[in-house]
Amino acid sequence: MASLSEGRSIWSYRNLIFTIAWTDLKSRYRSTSLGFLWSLLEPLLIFSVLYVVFTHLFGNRTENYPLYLFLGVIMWHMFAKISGAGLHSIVNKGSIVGKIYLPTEVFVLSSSLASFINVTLEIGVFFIFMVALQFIPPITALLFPLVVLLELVLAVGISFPLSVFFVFYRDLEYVWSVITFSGFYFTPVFYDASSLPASVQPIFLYNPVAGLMTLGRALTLGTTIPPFDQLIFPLVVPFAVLGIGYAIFRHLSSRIAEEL
Amino acid sequence: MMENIAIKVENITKDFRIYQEKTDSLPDFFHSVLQRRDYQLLRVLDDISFEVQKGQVVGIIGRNGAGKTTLLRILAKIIRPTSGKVYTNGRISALLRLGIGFNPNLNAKDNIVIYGMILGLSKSEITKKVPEVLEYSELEKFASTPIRHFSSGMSARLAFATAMTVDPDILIVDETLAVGDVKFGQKSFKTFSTMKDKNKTIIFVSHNLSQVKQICDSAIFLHEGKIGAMGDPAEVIKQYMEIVGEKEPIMKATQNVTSNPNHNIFVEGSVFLKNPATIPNRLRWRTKALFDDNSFAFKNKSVLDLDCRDGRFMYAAIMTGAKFVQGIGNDKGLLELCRSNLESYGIDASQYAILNGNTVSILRSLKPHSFETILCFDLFKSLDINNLLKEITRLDPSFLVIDSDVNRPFRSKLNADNKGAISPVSKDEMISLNKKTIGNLLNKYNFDFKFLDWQDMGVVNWTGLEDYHKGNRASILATKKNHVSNNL
Repeated sequence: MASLSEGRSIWSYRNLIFTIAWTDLKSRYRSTSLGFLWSLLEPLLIFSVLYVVFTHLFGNRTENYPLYLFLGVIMWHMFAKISGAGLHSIVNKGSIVGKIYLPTEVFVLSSSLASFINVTLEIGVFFIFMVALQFIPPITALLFPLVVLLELVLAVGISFPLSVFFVFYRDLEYVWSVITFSGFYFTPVFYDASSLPASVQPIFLYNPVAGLMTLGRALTLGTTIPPFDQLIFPLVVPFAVLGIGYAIFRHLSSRIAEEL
Repeated sequence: MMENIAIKVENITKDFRIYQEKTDSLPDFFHSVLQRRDYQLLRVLDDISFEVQKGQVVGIIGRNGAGKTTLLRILAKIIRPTSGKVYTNGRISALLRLGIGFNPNLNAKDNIVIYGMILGLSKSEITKKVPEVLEYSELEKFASTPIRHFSSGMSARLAFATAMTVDPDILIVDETLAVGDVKFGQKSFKTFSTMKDKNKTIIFVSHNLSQVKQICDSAIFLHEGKIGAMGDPAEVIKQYMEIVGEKEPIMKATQNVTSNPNHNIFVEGSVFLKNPATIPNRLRWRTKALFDDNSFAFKNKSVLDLDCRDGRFMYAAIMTGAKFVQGIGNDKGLLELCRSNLESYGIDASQYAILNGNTVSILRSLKPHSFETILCFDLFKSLDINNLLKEITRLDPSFLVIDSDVNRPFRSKLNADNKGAISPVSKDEMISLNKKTIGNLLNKYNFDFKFLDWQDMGVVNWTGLEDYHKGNRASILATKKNHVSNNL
């Protein structure tokens, strides 16, 4: 006899998570005429606007600025997209959550996976871009996927508590959109953090996305790798966020079905 | 140990937190942000224990709000009990309410795959079974149609078929059988008995007592969160009738909120839905609002329908338990249709009568107290309201169920000013009744009344109900003053 608390492990739901993610992606773009292309066009267009603004209007002189900027946009996009989708992941599936037994983690993970699939396509475009600009990346670029995974851990880690808080506090939607909006400016997406005065540096030091972005650029574009003591934070924080975020999620998740 | 037991429930108690209504004012808002929201605990299930043997079909009955659905949700592991334990033995498949959370933008095939996987099948297993599911649900033609184009009956059929394909050891069903046409109902019935032969367990909630009697091995009667009776279905139903019988509270309308007009009288395939002008969602919700929720005004009552048209509401009244219904109309073709519609349902001719003529003159010919409930659809805009209400008052019914346009001008011999005061005028004039005017009229003719709150009822899909939504139409339950207590 199986008691209520015993369940299958999340791993056993991997196929379901993947299927839900895939069908969500399919249905997301089904009603648009450009379909899946939008997932590539969107960051490309954002990139183009930023590029025009910061090279022609502000005259940015960072080396390899197009690649520098594009990578920044992609990495920021990854965090913003996964966490934004994560926030809505449970509420959007409210009709299933209240009717069928399924660990709620499944919905958070499948929404993260769907956004992540989008992001990997963007990264593919980035490398095509690189080839087109005849830029030869250093050998360290092979480590770039690890940075992407770290950021995925961070974004999923934040998605867990967001998704469950949003069930109880619908105001969070607006709060989170303001946070991601300001996050875009407090992260060196379109500028080089090291060129800014020392007094503002702590902002970047304690912003894990900024740390990962700097590291990702250093590995792929050959910019200076930050000193080790500045790396500890971005390397450790994603796991800490995931651990704490998941614990909060577990604590509150039993009440989700009642609230929806 | 206990190999032949499918479900064991030990001392389950469930409390829900009922939060105070959120307020719109700014100070209250800040107060609510800073402080934890106030809530009360509502005990929905109180120390429930029972066992279900493998291969048993168990029916759960009880009034709305008795805790039936909560119990099913706990058995299906969707929510956890506040205290107590549930043991289950085998794969569970649960069908709770309609639709099951299909993704409306995906087609039937994709939804079957996802739903099957949610229920625990592997992707290849369920993919192989897709044709089988489509065949069972008789939806082969719609395999590639997005679910959003499906009627509620179609998605219920699809959900049922998918849930059955999983070959569950324990099936938990919440009133799903009431959905779908008669033929599909029989089919699912048949499936139930084959499951039973395979030593599978079925637990289902139903308001259809004869169904419970027919297919259940045992029944559980939930009453106010406790087990009122348990065991032989016939015996349990008897006790249920004794306790619930005539004691339906008068203000049931407000307590009875569900977001779906669930066990509706107008199931798919009903002749009344075949009329091309009929919007099923509208008909279903109106039936729920006016009949289901006010069943005390119909059960064992004699009912007069002042404008019977194709007989749909006469039928609804009979299905809600009216002992006799008389319809009035003045369009011969419609009356003929009304008669044939009621005949097509095999309703005994002694249960209804249809009269042709002018409403007010027919009312004049009737004796007081000949009807306990009067249905008044739309007459307020086309008739001489004063005389109509005068005649209704003379007939002295216990209940008056009104569903009328409001805030729309029409021609009448009455004058209603903005404050709702009524005065007769010499010739026809365009007037417009608002809620207040109607209230004043009812008051004048000695009725207590209550506007049925459509918003409160939990309507999610307002298709065909736009006029109610915008406040251009209102439903009212009026009761003779001093008649039933001061509840109203």
